[in-house]
Amino acid sequence: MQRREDPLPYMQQLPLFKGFSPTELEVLSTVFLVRRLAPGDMLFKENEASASFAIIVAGSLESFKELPGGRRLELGASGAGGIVGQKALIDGKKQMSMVKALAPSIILECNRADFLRLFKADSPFAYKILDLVITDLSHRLRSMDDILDKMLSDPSKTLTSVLDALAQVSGLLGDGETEEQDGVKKYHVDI
Amino acid sequence: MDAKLYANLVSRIPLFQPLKPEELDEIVKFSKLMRVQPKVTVLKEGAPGNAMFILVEGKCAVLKAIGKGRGQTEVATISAPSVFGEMALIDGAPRSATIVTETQSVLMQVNLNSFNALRKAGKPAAFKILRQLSGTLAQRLDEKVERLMEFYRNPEKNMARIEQLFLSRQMSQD
Repeated sequence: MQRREDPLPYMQQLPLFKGFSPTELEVLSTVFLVRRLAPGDMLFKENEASASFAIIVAGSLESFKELPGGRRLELGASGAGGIVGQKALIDGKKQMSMVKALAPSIILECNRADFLRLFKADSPFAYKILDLVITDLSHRLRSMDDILDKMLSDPSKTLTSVLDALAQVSGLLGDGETEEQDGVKKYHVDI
Repeated sequence: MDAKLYANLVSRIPLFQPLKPEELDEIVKFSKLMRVQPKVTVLKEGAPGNAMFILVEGKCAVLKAIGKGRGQTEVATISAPSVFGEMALIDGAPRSATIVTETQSVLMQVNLNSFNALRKAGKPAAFKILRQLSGTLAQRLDEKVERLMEFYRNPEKNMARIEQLFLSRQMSQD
């Protein structure tokens, strides 16, 4: 049976875990599982139950939704220190997007039940994570409002221009463009 | 906190159900209790959000503007006990509607600065409320992403809809 890799050294690398005592970190290390992902490995699938979330130690993961005809809508990428799978922290409802490794990645995965146990025990770490997630959600909601608002601001543009504008406004948070790669047409919308 | 008031708030307002009595007391401690006459504007559409309100007694009307200078229309009624303006605790975004008392009412105002002090101090009361509100945030984001997805799934079909929405917006602004 494979020995479980100790998450503590990875936790000590991340700003998220700063300010906690060695004892607190020891307790927290029991709820995290170290996972290594190769490029292309799927972490979460759209519509599956949100059973866990992950903190990225190294590498990067992308979030996207699949469209008909082999297209996809990219929703952004996260690197070291980022959190993916926030739904597990909030309501455990179904995942709204796919999450896949873009590069060789190391993540710390925590299941929803363990997080809820921490939260119910008034864990400062659980509060810190929730604080980050809520701030992130709030920013993303505002970005979406801006994107949808721009869509309605000038419909006299041609259809191509509308799609270009959609890709362009994703520059609110990063570079946005449409591209075709390996036969898959991608639209980037960073939220 | 008055035991009867606590029982009433906790049992009927989902936002407060995860809170223990002493935690609800912390929220109530820095709240301002107000007795308000009918036809008083509690929140104004477009104004910055800096407080959450708990309607303890009475009834309020929810009004939205129907166009520049064209007045407002009533879109809903809120009866006690309930909460409104709670999203201000997360981001202080402008109010999405106007709230006016319809009857003599009792309101508790929970100020954003005071709530943030609880949040900064790591108080469970603040985080239990935030966790409840995060569900609403996540749902709104999902709905908006889905709206965007609809346009990408059928861009040609949805161009007509975009134009219609634009025209509606233009009319409401005239």
